Amino acid sequence: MIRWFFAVLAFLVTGALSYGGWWLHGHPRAIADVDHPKLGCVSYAPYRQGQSPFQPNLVITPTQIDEDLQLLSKRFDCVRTYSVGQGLDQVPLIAKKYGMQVLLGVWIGRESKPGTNAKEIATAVKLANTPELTGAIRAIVVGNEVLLRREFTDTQMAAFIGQVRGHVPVPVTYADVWEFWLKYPKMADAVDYITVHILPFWEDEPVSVEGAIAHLHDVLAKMRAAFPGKTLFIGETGWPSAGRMREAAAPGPFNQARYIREFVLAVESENVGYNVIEAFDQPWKRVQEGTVGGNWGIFNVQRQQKFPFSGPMSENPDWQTEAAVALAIAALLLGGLLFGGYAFGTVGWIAAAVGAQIAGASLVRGWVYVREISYTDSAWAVGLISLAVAALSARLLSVSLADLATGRPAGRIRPASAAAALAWLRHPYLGAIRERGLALGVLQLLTVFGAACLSLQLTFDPRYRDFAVPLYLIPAAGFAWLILMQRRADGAAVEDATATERREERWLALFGFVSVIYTLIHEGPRNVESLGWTVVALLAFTPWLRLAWVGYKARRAAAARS
Amino acid sequence: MSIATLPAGLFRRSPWTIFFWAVGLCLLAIAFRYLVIELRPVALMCEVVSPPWWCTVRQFIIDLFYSDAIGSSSLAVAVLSFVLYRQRGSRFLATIAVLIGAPAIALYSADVAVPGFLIGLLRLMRD
Repeated sequence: MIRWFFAVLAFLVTGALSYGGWWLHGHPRAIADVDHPKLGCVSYAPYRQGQSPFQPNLVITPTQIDEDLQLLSKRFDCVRTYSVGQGLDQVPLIAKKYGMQVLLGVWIGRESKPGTNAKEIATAVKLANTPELTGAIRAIVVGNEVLLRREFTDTQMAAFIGQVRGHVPVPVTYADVWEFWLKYPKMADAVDYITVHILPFWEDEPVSVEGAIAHLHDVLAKMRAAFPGKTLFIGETGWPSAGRMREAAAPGPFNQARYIREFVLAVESENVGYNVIEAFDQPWKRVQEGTVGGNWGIFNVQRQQKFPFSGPMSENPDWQTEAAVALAIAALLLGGLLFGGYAFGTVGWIAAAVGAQIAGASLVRGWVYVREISYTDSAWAVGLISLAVAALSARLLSVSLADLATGRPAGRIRPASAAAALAWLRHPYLGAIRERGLALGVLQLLTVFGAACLSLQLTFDPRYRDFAVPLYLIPAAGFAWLILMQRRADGAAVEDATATERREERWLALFGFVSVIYTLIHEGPRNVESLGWTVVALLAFTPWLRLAWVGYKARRAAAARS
Repeated sequence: MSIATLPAGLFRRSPWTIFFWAVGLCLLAIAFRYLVIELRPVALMCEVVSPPWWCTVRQFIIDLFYSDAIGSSSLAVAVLSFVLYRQRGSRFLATIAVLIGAPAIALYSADVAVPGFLIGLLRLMRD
């Protein structure tokens, strides 16, 4: 009875703390309100799930464009497009129906099919000279970040712009990030006004949301100083609602709402027109730019608005559901120990409850992470396998740690070697995995292998890759803790005797260690996600790094003896 | 060692030897990425109407790696070597996985080439 009392009390106390943590993360917080009925322009890419500008035969139907513009017309008075292909030449006519104007984009880029650029230009010139569209096209944007992508020189771009300017009754401009306007100042002579992109998140030195508005004012001041008398227009600015951090710049629903609302208010004092990026989340961008790339929309793919323009805003609107599921998982883990007949003391139950709460929370956030980052079937598969490894590890480690704490012999069963785990993975006979040491060994191998893979991938291709902290927290910390406790209980000799033969452990841990240290240095100390990943990955690698060190010393000693 | 005997000799060597070959190939790939693919003057030379002949080779290598063809091959061969452990050819397959995976990691294919490279290397740990 006392056992039950302490277990339930520990669960309730730690559960209350856990709930407090979820509340801190998810409760709505105040940000500046935007009272304007209508905002400026918004970037309009029409692609929905499964659609992409790289599908040469794709034509967006007028019905789809009509649905989108009807929705956007309630909040914006103009849209910016990026091409007149794939049916987007219909946008001005449909926009006019809803009283909107269009910044008509002409896509200039490396041609996969000869004549694509010329066709874009010809279509745009024709649309701008169509009498029925008078007043619908506010300006033509010839080329988007072409110089940034290094696909044409400034001279070549000026020539493209020249094919439009003077042939249409509306202003003609070119759009690029502010550094490239400063780098190629002669481009200003080729356009009627300058369209500048200011994206604090994507800067070479990323800017946090707290400093983003000050950065915007700084950039505008630099641009005005460089181009006195020339009209400026902010062609793209915005913030992503999901994805990885870049230094101190953190994506998220709250930060997205905060930046856009603060921007709309701040830009009034600058006397400059603007276009926000972007109307709808674009899943196809995730292929090129990772999770961050597909989450710049004010509306999601299902056309639901992601944040209000007034009132408080939550970083995690689902926090209560997630907290409830996390508490349920913690209750299951703790209940498993209670019904398993373990007789802990007060401190033991508190420790078990804390572990169960952390496991519950990280499994829930792990699921959210997998759902958020998985775009392809293979990403879903890898994510779900990692989540399964984390869940199985949570259960098995809780039992092993409980056995160890209560002096049961099963608690001293060490995880099997990586070689044994690999042998089982080659012939996965389910009967064998019931043996605790093998099960622990397989889960530890999968954890370290996954962590080493991600660390190495972050070393070579970091820009668009996410940090999988919630997926690896439980197995990484759990195995490190179990092995440490087993060594304390049993002495180190059990593993150390085989250290020279643990080759797989040695190589994986060393690869992982070198990679994660490189990533830590590369990402910088302001990236909290990178710091979190470093801690988690080091926890995963540490037991095997220790084995590698012991094995190295043993080999040195053997060499000295011979 | 003559060129004719190099591959056969290589596949029998220790993991360290193969690892150093892989590091060499990876460094070559890094040099190719930053000096031939991403260097702006070189890129511009290949974007004129009649580019020099080597631009075709450059583009072929970009397409080969960027499409994940090499990285996926590394992963597939590594998995095969893992499954066929202790069978004839398994070590050979693992060596191939490591040697093609290493440059693919540096050439835009880390998603699939990293697991291919590591699985191949794990196989090479054991005879």
